Amino acid sequence: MFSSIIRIIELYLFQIMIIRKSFLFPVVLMLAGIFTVSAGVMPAVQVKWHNGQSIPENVPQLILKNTRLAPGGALAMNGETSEIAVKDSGNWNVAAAATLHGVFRIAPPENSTPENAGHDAFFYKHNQLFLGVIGEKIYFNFFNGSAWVGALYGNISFKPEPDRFYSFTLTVKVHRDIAQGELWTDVEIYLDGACIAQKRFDQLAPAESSAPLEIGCATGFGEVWHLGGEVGGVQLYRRILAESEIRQLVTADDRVTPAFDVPRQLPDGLNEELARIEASAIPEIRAGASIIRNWVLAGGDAGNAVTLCRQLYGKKELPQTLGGGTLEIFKLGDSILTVCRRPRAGIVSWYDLRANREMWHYAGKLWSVKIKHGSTATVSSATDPGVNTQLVSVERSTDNVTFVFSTNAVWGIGEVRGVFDGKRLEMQLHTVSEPGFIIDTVTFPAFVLQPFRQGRDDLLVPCMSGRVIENAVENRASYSSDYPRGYCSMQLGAYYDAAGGVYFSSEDPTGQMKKLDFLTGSSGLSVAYTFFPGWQYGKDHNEFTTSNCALELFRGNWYQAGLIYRRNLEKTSPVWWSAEQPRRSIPQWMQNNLIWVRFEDRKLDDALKLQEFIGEPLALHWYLWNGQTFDRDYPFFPPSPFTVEILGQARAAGMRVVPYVNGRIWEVKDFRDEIRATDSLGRPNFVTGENGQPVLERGVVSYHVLCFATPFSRDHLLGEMTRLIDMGCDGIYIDQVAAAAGKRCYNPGHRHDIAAGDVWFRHGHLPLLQQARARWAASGHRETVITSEDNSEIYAGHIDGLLGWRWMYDGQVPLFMLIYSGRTQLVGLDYSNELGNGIYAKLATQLIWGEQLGWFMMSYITSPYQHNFRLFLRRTALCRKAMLDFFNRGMMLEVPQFTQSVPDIRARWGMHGTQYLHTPPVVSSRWKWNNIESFILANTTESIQKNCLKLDLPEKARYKLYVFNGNGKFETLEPGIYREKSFELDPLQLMLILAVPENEDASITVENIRREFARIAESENIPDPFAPRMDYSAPGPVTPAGQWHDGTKALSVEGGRVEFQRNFVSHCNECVIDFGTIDFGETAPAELEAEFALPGHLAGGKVVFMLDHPVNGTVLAERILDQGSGSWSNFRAYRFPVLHPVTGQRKVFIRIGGIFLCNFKRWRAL
Amino acid sequence: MMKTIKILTVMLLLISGISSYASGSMCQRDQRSGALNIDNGYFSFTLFPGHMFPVWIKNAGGTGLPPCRFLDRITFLKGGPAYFLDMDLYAETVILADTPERLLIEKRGTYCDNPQHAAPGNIRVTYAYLIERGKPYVTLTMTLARDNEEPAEVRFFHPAWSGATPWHEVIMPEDKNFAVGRGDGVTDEMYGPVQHLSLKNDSLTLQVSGVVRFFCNRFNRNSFLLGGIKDVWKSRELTMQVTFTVK
Repeated sequence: MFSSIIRIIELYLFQIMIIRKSFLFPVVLMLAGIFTVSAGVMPAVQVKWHNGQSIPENVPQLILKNTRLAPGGALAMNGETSEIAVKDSGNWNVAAAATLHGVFRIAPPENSTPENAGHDAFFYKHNQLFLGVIGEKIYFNFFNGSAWVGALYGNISFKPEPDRFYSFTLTVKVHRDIAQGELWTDVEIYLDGACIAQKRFDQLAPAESSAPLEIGCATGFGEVWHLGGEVGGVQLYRRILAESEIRQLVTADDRVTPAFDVPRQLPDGLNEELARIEASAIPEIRAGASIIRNWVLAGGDAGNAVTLCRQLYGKKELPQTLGGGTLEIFKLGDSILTVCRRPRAGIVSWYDLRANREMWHYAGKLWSVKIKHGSTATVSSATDPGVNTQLVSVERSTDNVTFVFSTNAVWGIGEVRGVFDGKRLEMQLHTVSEPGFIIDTVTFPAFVLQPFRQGRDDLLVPCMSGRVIENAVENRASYSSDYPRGYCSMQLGAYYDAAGGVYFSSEDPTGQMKKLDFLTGSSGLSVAYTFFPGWQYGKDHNEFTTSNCALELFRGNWYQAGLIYRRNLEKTSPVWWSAEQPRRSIPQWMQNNLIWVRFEDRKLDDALKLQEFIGEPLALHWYLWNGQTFDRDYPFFPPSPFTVEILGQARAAGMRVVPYVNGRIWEVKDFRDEIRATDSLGRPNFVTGENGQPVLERGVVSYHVLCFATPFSRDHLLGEMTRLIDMGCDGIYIDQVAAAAGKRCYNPGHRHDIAAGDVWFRHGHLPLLQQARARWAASGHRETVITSEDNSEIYAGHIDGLLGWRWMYDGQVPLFMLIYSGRTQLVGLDYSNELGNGIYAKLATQLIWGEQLGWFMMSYITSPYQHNFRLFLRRTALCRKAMLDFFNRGMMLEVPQFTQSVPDIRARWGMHGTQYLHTPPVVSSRWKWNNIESFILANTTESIQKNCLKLDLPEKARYKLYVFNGNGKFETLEPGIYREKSFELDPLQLMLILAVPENEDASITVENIRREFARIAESENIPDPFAPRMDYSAPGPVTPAGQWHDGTKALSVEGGRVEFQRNFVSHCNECVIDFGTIDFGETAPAELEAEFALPGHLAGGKVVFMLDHPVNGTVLAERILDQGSGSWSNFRAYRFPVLHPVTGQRKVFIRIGGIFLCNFKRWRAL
Repeated sequence: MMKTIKILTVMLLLISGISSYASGSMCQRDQRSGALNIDNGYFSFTLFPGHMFPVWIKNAGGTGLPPCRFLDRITFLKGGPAYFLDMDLYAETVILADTPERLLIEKRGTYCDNPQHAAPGNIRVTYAYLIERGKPYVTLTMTLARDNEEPAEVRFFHPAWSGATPWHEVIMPEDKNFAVGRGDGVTDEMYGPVQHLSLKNDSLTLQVSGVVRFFCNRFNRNSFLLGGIKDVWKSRELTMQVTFTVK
């Protein structure tokens, strides 16, 4: 009987992407071609070699060479010729995230040379990664396509005992954000469940490799490295396992000795005792059972536990302590928090009395630190063996309880102070290191919450606007990001289900850099915040106090969690928080701005026409304003005469003009293709890495990153910006500032703490922004704005417009707007590559969330084929104007509900985030200002929508209702008690419902809204200056449908470029090709075929065959080009099912949209 | 003794400079943009920082030259991209003389393409603008220097107007009056070099003297270009001169 199992588990979880069952199956099936799929195992895919059958027969996917089955069921490796490879694993790559876990016995053959014995391979993929042992070091490395660049050694001396199995776990996570020039790989190595190495490799990532994954050997280093010993089991994941999951794997393998304190199994008898307590009708007594269980699992004395259980029998309330003070029980409000003194002090349980469940998982370790000592780095926590942690203080009062845990370790001390009031748990960690020890990182809090299983469990993550990941544990939701930045715009998270949940946040008012990790696994949700303390140059020790980190029990959803966060901001008033709303320093024009256009043209003509059509001033987000190539020669932004001319024309036309500059990087070749000032001026001011070298990023070209803690960096950028402001610009867009992750700077010459997390903002961009505002105000430019990319919250107080251009995540919620509306403005989403109603849902969502609309490329919004969208834009812009007081001065309320449930529509919003989003046909929001409540409804479909809105107004309160329909129908309802309001919305139409308390005078507001909605109703009568041409009646030869119709021989091509010599139409985007009259004969074709060429990353656009007219005609066939053809030059045939049977002679057009440039060759009917 | 003479000389120059400035320089610097605004009573224009060419040229009546783009460029006969002078964003400005009567400003830059690559050969281009009080024209001396002798074509003082032509009349001393719209069938560079040429519309005349050519753009019949051409430049240095008058 073989007892070992090799599992190969592929979980397709990307950074925060969720496995939905709908696409899990294809993944499983795809893998079935590679590995044997074990039925009924979801979501994992397993491969087994087991039960005494011969290995090759049962596991055809493994290629075994010179291995044999060892008595224990493992595969014996002879250390000289034994090799294992996973068949067809060429397409298994580390990609975004991976965990490789294996159990090995290392026992070199007796005749092995020292050289052979010292090179044992565990995992190897040619030209991608290696994990093994070299000498006495556990060693990892990865290949980035040109070299092995990711060397990482374990921080222990590893001398394996030949008879013992060890578990090795490698986690690799690659982060790529090309827009921010960001690329890094986080690597962690665990030995028997203890982290022995972790490192971030900046600007480096493992290359893809088509070679098979090798186990127990590495054949690509010239001389093959063989493992001498046994392979006892392997598991592979396409996600990062949380530490608690890794430890579960280790604990579950009885051959491995865990390098951590193993949670005990509940002894026989105790379960029965606990079950007796849990049968109690009194919730807090039931909580007692949970407390005892968690305590035992965390290492508490199991023998004593039975005694504790018996103390609770028949009791009506919990005592304040159990076990003679071993457990301190704090029962306050709706929950019970329990801390213990022994075996190691810590939090044992947090029990929700109302939901009647344990929330706390015993695996949480509360905090850990990464300590540098000489050349080694070790991770230490309060729960490590040999570390002395005590509960040194408990003070109870009627409202709350305070407690203190104190830890003494070799490296120094840590002290956690906590306050608990029954709902909220606030804690702070203070650490001090001994001489010779530097505290490099502090992870606090670090805890695990049990899975919540009452209905759907949701995880709220602070990505962009905020995002809710549904069925988090089942889907193995994983969120990890550096704060502050767009991908981590705020500090909070929340985990909840129908019964309630826990809000958590670092609530740090300094906005310092930190890393957030929210990982789910079978244990539940693992949460960790990691701070970067920094140290003074020349000192060999340091100390650090974290912010006041909070956990709070709440009922509700993301909205209530957001309110907690907002309440704390009001209380702590960090530097970016404005008590005033709207923030006074946001100029009036900016508060009231409606539309942003990405302008990079040489002429203003189209912008003027668009402005006239909308009837409101445009704001131009101005790129290429000096003719300079994008992303070159930073940080020098010289204006040209053209800049002045366009600026003058735009301002004269009433437009607002905000040019682009970059506020982060310095191109290495900063003067065309030469180095001008990089070495002389730039280098002393660059962010310096741990290796003492300036950080180098690669994007379009190579850049260094400026450290804005240096006066030069600030002064230089300020000078460049001020020149533009002095020329008359209305503001400056500073790219990347609110988007990109901060960098730890190790340059002692900058006079900031080395590698400290508070340098980037507090000593860098914050003073820059403050200086800019002061300088411009002093020179009379009080109407000047600053805008930036993404929406990191710490800039909300000083940056007036944040460009949330990539807010395209399924499950996204307006958390950021709930908190920051009126305190800053959101200035646009990226518009391209939409499909279905995505374009309308996107714009409508901008409206209802209170964002400014746009930002549109001029060519996009002025395309003749965007007529309907332009109309919708005009309506939404005027509706935004009507709602400005609510957006700027009011507050968002919970999302309105409808009486009739309507399925969401899935549509593609663009090329960012999850690309496809689900939204209801009618999107809506609810705002409150001056006691007036407003409901905005937007029909994002091309059909009439009827439903009934739940008003959810205070009971018995009398309200007047005003209903404004974009079709011009206005309705006033006399004061009364209203519960619901039915409505009917025309296609792509808007409605606004005001609920005004009976005694409130809202006449001015009502009149303002009535005026704007009257203008909305007129929209269809406004001549569209970019309307599609109607005349496509030019005669041409009649050609049979079954022959090829070349794009180059079409009657006309609009929106594309005819390449006669290459025989195709290139640059197709919002393109219409007129093929004239086509004869379909007497039999309608079932399919069409057309040839396109486009790279895979641009796939997703839509091609429509139209009859009679490209816009107003009949759809003959359509489909999404959901896969690329490989390149611009490689044409691929795509099939189009015919939707409208057609015979005889008809005019045919092809419309190509939602693709960012493809090439079209020809089509025919099949 | 020599030191004393040097100091006196410097002082005299300084006093001369101060007095000339006080008595009315033709050149004023815009503090916000750093641009040099030049006005000699007959015309005015601006030399923008980083930019080689005069912009916002106006006659004494305030009528502005229709906005144009200067297409001064170099193309190598062996092929490759064209490099344009107005793509240089880093041209340096040097005021060589600034008296009430005479203003001499040099612009120093090079040819670039887009994206910003400088033309090969380390080409140094100097455009020296001489403005004299009482004279209604600007004398522009263009000097090119480089490190190799790669054969190339050079176009200089090459304003171009795209779209509808702003000019109603073209006058050449050789009586080759060019009627607007008479472009059918003409090819690029239809007319050879002339010594004097005037473009006129209702309110403005642009006169150019020197060896220049006038031609229409075959890709757009409504575009007019004007400029000097050195068909083949093989040496390491090149100097040309034109005067232009706006009235």
